[in-house]
Amino acid sequence: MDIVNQAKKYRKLHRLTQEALAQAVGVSRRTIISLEKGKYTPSLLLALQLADFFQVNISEIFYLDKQMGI
Amino acid sequence: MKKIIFEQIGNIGMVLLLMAALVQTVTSSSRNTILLGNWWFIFLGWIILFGILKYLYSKTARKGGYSFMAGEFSIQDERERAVSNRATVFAYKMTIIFLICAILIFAVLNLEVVQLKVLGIVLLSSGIIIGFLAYMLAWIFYDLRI
Repeated sequence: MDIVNQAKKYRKLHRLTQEALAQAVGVSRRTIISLEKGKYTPSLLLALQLADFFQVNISEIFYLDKQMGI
Repeated sequence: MKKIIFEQIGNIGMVLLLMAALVQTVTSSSRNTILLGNWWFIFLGWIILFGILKYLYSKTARKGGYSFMAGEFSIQDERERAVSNRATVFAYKMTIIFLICAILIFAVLNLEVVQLKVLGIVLLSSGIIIGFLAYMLAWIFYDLRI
């Protein structure tokens, strides 16, 4: 089962660059790029930091793609 | 990625010079005297030079997450920690495979004492270099992939 993330959508909603978001949550721009591409699954800490930064529930940014199957 | 290439090239250079210095000492020393050849001075010079370069690099590349003390295990964030962990596992596997091969080579060859010493130094140094190389290549691979 894959994890879908809406980090890019929320970043664009807040009109932020990848660099700005990276600085805000204390990671490299490369990590934000990988995260948005779905190549990297963030730790629970980073996921919570992103949710906190965007002021949304964590499940609005990250959720399971149930259609993919196991 | 640059910090890992920098660190590992420096480390490989250091091991190569140490190997040359040890081989020179083993081949030129007798039972009662231990001779330190000029390779030891080159090795010492390299350690000092590399130490200075590491210090300067750690001061100028803070944004890239390079740490003087952490060396090749320098990480900027959690993604790089994941990259480093995977690279470490790969390097460990490669080193073990190489050392098993080295043991087999040791067991098969019938050599004199000095030749055995030299072969031992070369094989063990090669094992360390393979570990460094495997770590660097795996780091680059996983950094591009993750």
